[in-house]
Amino acid sequence: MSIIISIAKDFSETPGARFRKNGSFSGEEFREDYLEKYFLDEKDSSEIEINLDGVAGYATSFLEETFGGLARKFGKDKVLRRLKFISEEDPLLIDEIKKYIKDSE
Amino acid sequence: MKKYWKSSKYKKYQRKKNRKTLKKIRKGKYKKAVGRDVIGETKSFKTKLIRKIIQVPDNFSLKNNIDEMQEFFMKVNKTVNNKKKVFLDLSKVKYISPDAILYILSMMDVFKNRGFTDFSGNAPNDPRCKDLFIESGFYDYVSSNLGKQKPNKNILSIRTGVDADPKLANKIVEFASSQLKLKMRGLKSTKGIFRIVVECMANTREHAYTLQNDYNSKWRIIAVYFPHDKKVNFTFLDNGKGIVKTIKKKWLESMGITGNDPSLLKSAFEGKRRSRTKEIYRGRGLPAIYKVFDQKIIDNLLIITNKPFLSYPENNQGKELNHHFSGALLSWDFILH
Repeated sequence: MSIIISIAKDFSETPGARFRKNGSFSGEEFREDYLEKYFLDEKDSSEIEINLDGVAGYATSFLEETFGGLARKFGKDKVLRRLKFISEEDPLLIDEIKKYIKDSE
Repeated sequence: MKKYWKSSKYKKYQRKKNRKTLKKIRKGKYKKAVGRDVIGETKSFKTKLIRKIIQVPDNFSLKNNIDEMQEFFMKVNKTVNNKKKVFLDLSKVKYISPDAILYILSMMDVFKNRGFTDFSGNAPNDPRCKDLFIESGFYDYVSSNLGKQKPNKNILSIRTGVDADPKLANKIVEFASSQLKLKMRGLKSTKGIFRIVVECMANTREHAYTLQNDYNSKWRIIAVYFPHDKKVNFTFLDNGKGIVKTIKKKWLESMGITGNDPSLLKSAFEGKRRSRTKEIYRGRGLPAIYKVFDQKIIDNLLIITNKPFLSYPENNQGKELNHHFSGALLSWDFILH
C-alpha cells in the first residue's frame, strides 16, 4: 500500500531550515515526525510518495536534513528505493534531493 | 498627590544650582556644549550635555562607499571606547542605502551590549533620504519624538529576528511578488528568493555565533521596491562572526600563508564547500545562494563580511577591505526582466 505525503498540505507551505533549534517547520521536524515512522520496520518496503509542490520554496538545509538525514539513519539504498517524488513546479528539485541522499554520510 | 517639581524644596534646590552655574559661566570656567563639539570642561561639570558630534558620510552607503563608511564607523567605535556620548549628524546626507540603515542599528546593538547607550542623532535634511530613513522602520527600534509613521507601500520595513522564520520569509517574497506583479507562488524565481532568505536567517542562528546563548544573536532584513528600475532590493545583515571566520580553513590558510580572504569567501560561495562544522554534507547554504544568482534569478549580489567585499557581477575577484567588517551583509536585487 502506497503512502502519500504532501509537504505543503500535511506539514507546511513554508518549510524552514535544518534543525528544530533553527526555527519552525524544520527539516529535522519533518523527518522525525512524518517520515521516520515508516522506516522503523525493516521488512517494510512500501512506497512513500512525497509531493513537493505547493510550497513557497525550500532551503537546501531543509531538504538535506530531511532526506539526507533519513539516509544517514536508515541507509541510502533503502531511502532511494522507497521514496518517490512528485514535483511538477520544479522537476530539478528531485535530482537535487537524490544528490543529497547519495552524498549523505 | 503634589508633584515633586512643584514643591518649594525642589524650586529652592534649582535656584541654588542655577546660581552656581551662572557663577561659573561668568568666570568663563565652562562652556555650554549642547549641539557642539566639546571644547573644554571642568572636572566638576556634569557630562550629561557633552556629546561628540560625528558627521556621517554624504554618501551613506556600504555598497557604494564602503571605505569612507568604514572610517566613519571606526571613528564612532573610538568615541564609544573613550566613553564619550555620540551624536550622529545625518543632516548633510545626500544618498542613503538600506544597508547603512541596518548597520547603524546593528552597531547600536553591539554598543548597547557593551553597556553604552548614549547614542543620539538627527535625520537627513534631504527629503528623499529622510523619507527612506523614516519609512525603513529605523525609528521602530530607537526612541524618537517623531511619533507613529505612515508606512510606505514600496518598503517592507526592517524586520529582525533570532531564528529562521519561514512565514516571514514568505511575506517578504509576497511583498516582492506583489510589487513586481508576479504570480504569488510556484515560480522558480520566487522560490529562489525564499530559499536565500531562509538560508540567511538559518545561517545567523547556526553559524554566526559560537555561543548558543549569545544575547546579541540576531539578523535584520529590509526590502525596498524601486519603481523606476522595476526591482526589489533585499538587504540582510547579521552581526555575528562573519562568514569567512566561520568557514573551516586549512591550517596554512588560517596562518595567512596561502590565499587571501576574498578568495576564501569566493570559493565558499561558488561551491568549494568549507563548512564550519566539517560535516561533509553541510555547507550548502552559500553555494545555494550563489546558484540563484548564477541562474539569473537575482542580480547585483553583494557580500561584505570580515575583510572580503564581493560584488557580482562587477568585481568578480573581490576586494579586501581596509578594516574588519563585523558580521555578514548580503544584498541582492530581484529584477523584472
